Amino acid sequence: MDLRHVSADVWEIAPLEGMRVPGRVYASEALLAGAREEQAVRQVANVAHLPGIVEASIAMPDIHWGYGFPIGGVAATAVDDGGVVSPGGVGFDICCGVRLLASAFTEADFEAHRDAVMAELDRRIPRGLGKGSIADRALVADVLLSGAEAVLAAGYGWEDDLARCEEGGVSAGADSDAISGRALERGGGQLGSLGAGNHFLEVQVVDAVHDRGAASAFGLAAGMVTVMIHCGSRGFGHQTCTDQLRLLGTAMARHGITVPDRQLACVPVDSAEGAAYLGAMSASANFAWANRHVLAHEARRAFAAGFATSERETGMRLVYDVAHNLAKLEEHDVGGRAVWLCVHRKGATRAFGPGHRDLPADLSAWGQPVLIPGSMGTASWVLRGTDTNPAFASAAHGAGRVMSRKKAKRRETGAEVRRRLEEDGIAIRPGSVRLLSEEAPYAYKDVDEVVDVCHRSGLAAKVARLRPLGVVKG
Amino acid sequence: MPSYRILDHTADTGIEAEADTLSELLEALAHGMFDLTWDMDAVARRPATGSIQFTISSPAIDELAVDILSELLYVSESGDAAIRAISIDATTTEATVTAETCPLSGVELRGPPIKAVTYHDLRVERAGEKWWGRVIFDV
Repeated sequence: MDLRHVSADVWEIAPLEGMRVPGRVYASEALLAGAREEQAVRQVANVAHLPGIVEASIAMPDIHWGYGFPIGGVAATAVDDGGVVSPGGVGFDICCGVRLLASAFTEADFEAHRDAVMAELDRRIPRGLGKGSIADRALVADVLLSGAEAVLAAGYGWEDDLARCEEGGVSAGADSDAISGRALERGGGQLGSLGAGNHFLEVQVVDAVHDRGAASAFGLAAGMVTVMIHCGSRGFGHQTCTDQLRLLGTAMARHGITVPDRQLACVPVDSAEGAAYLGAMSASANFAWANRHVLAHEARRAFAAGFATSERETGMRLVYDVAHNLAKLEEHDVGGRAVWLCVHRKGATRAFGPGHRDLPADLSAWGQPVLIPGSMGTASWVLRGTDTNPAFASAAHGAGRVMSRKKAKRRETGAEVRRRLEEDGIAIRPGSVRLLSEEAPYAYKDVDEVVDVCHRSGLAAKVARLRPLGVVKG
Repeated sequence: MPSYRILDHTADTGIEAEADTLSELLEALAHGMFDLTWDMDAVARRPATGSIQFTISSPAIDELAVDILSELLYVSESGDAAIRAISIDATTTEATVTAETCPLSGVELRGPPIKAVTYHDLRVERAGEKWWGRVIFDV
């Protein structure tokens, strides 16, 4: 596929037959090299076929080969102009995202209590196969409609958490009638669990601050210990997407839509099927907001127990919680006109700039916190939204894989990866040692370079860099 | 045990398989899907504690494969069960699946659990005298 180098970190795919808009990739030469060797660039072009798509099919600097959409894909469709919603632009792990907690502790504090805290995390964070920490099905039913609000009302978390959560931790428009009993059977019991794969809970320290004002507003300071949680809607969301894709496959023909990849199945946002998908997606998003909320609650309890103090004394305030697998109805400027768009972010983070009406008052001057986790053993980043974002207020969502799981397993065993991390001073509590090799740092791109491209191209601005101290993996 | 091959995919995992009949191909894909997550040989040595049977109809042969694999994932995760001794009797639009189940408790993971079966790069087709198929999973 022919890519034209438009400017320093911007590449364009000219519209080919069937593409309604060009493709645009934000990446350095080095980051793009891996994507060129796989199907990711072709997937950017495929997404440009979606009815109603505006401006461009966009990819973030952590672009890599996904299914249907590339990972790192952003597509906005005009709701009032036949624009579609595609479950493939959200993915099976609906509302997978990242939550970051501050703390009252320094690295030295943590090192002094490291074994106790890691043991408590190991004990309290359900992961791998199986159930979560909440078995109350009535509470799960509330969660589908009210997200993090429901678990807060049930005694989990702190009152001020919701203000620091995208959407206030509640996706409006959830429709429990659009949820299948199968989704509840499969995932209803997994609320309060991490899962496996690339999901993690990580203890980190702020090792560099790039924007002191924003860091302070976000509640971060150099040397502070933080906790980052990466997970999503578990089997509940996986089954919801599976069910909806099956329904949309037949609905698409009724709407006269064809797409180059069945995984891009879509229907008009303004259709009964579109409304049903968005209702089911929002219910799954509520499950994910609540899931991260409960895991944060357990992390606070683990730190309180490990430090032999109260949960409040841990100072583990929520910095922010942001989704990176979601489709959202947002108003954006398109050609000088305010237009309602369905913005798909598949492995991309919402990044509202300063002054956006959906930001809490205390963050409005700085823009939305953007959380970009690295791979196990490498840095993670906090950035902030800018008012010049060229990608429908979107930024990268992680380091982005560069090596298949098969190749990663061949390079080192899980035990070798564990030893290397421990030699680097990182405490590791895996659910399965064997699985560590698939998530080794070498399987991912250089997160610092991903963040550099975000910063240079105005997708988001650097605030702080976080270095890992301890990892809990599924 | 049915054989399959793991494909390189950057973010997720895919498998492909070849068999003499469509039914055997679908069995190999089902076996491979679970074998990515845990050792199916080890699961086969555990005593069966239950059985399942279901029939699925789909408009196309590749969709039939996705529907069968998705149903098996659902049965496994909703029932906290490992699936073993999978037997499939298929035409190009309908299949009856039977299998045994045993508890997942104590089964060691060797790969991340599969979230879903995708339609991306999906192929189920006759290749000469054989049947050949490829499936990409979200993990």
